Amino acid sequence: MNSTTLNRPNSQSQQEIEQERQKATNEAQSSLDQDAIAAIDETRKAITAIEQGKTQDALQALERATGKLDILLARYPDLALVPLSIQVTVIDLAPLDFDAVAEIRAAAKVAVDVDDFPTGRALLHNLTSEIRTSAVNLPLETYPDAMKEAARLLHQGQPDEARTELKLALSTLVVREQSRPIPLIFALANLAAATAIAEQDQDNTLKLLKEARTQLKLAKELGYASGDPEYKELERAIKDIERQVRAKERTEGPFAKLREKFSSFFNRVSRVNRPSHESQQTQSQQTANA
Amino acid sequence: MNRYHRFFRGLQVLLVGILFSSLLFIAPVHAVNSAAVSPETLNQVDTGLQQEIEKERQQATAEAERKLDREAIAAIEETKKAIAAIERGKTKEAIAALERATGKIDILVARYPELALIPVEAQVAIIDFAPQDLNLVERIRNQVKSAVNAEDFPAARELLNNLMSEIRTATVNLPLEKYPDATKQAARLLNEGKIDEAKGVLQLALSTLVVTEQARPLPLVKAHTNLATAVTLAEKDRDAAQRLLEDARAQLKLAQELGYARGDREYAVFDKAIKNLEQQVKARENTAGAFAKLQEQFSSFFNRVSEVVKPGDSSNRAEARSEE
Repeated sequence: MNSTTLNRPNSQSQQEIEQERQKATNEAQSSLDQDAIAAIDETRKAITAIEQGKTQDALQALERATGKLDILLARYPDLALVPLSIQVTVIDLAPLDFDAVAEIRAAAKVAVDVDDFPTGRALLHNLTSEIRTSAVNLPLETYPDAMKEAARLLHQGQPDEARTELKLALSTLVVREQSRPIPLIFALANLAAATAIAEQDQDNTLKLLKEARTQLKLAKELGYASGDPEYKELERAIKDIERQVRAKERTEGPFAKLREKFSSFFNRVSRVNRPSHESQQTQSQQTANA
Repeated sequence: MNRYHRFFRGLQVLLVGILFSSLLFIAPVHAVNSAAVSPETLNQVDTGLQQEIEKERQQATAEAERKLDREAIAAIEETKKAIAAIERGKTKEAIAALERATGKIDILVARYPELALIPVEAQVAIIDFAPQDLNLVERIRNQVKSAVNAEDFPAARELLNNLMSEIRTATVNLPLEKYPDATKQAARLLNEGKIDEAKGVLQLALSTLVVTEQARPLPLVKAHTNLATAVTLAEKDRDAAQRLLEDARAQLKLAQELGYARGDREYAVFDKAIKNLEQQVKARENTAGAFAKLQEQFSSFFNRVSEVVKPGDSSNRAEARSEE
């Protein structure tokens, strides 16, 4: 089981999440750079060679790494970060009940206010409902210099210093995260389903539109781009369509326009890059399992 | 958002590895072998300290394992077997599994009439993301507050993760108040031929497992180690002993700034006691008695802080479910 969602047991929801997860994975994979990956592999080989006392092998590995990095620099002169690995994760822990969400929000605010960060952290974690893409990036600004410096140190017969330099370079890989809010994925799915049945089934169309508004509100309450003025505009647009459906007006055009607007909002929110944990030193994990 | 972005870009520190809580959900697609990347970045600790941390982790693991209840674990296993049997269309097998689950739970209720939560699974992890620099900690704290005030919870979450420095014990518990009713109800539904409903009730019961967490703050472990080392050096190397005492105070302050029992008055008491010791070491006075007293008090403070049980991150509960 690749992903787990606590709150949306129905299989239709699971399919939508899985579809979006797949999309996120494909997008992230297509952004990976093979030269950057190769440069990291060569760095590791150089470290191993140093540890085995094989300075020549280490130097060759560093030459190959530098070669790859030169290609990268030539190809992306303006790029600071080059993606070399990704992880896509579904994290859906937030309650669907607005009262429960409000309770967690309020408790988290109080905890942070009194500097009880451990409690604040645990509470805020329970407001997560997203497909998260974490990308590990090679920093083009600093990494190539580190390779050159390590090679220089090796030439000067300072293998320990060279090894430290390389390890430090590996530890400067930068993680960036993007989140696709799950409530927005559901809202979009509801809009698509409503579009399909708008002409034939007024009651269910209205139910789907209402659910889309609920999911929109949930995304906002969970803090996903909560200050964005477009939330209000989208809510108003959905309400307008609800009115048109009730009045049995033609809704094809408004639906198409709304879905386009909604998609572009979703993409904008999901493209925001956040820095990840500053230093993920999960040193060990012990499971005492049933 | 850009503010956070710039802030972290400026730090130029790494980030490879796997977040403890996310481990449970990760779907790696093309991951660099993060185990090979040793993140020797911000919190470099010496070997002695690493040993102390490892010792503390082992102690936490042993304690957590000791608390696990075999009957409760078996009841969960039987519930999972019942779900599996329902999915295979084997109602009788499911009912038999539920009978065994109910039997186990009845024993639990009889054994612990007052207890609400029975531990069935535990995970112990060392999580050390916090910077050692108090100014940096202060900046992150301020950014957390701004993000929470602006209701930017995703950003606040990420920032708060950078204030963690602890050995965390996450425990999944069976709630004795609700769980027995669920297994009985599922058995009744199965007897009535309501297979899907029975499965739903059992899945819901598994999702009501309660996660609690305990955190042993690493700065306090470090402070304690510094005190212990300072004792051994007090007579032979006054300068080193003083440096260790100073560092112990810094670690104490760091623990407080990271929010571990932040409001506890004993922080001020220890700060003062360590300062007094520093003076005594400086004045070449006999410090054996004062050190022993301080260490004892500190141990008891550490245990008290570490015993606090908080509601946990429910991703652990998800793990329990995903094993179905």
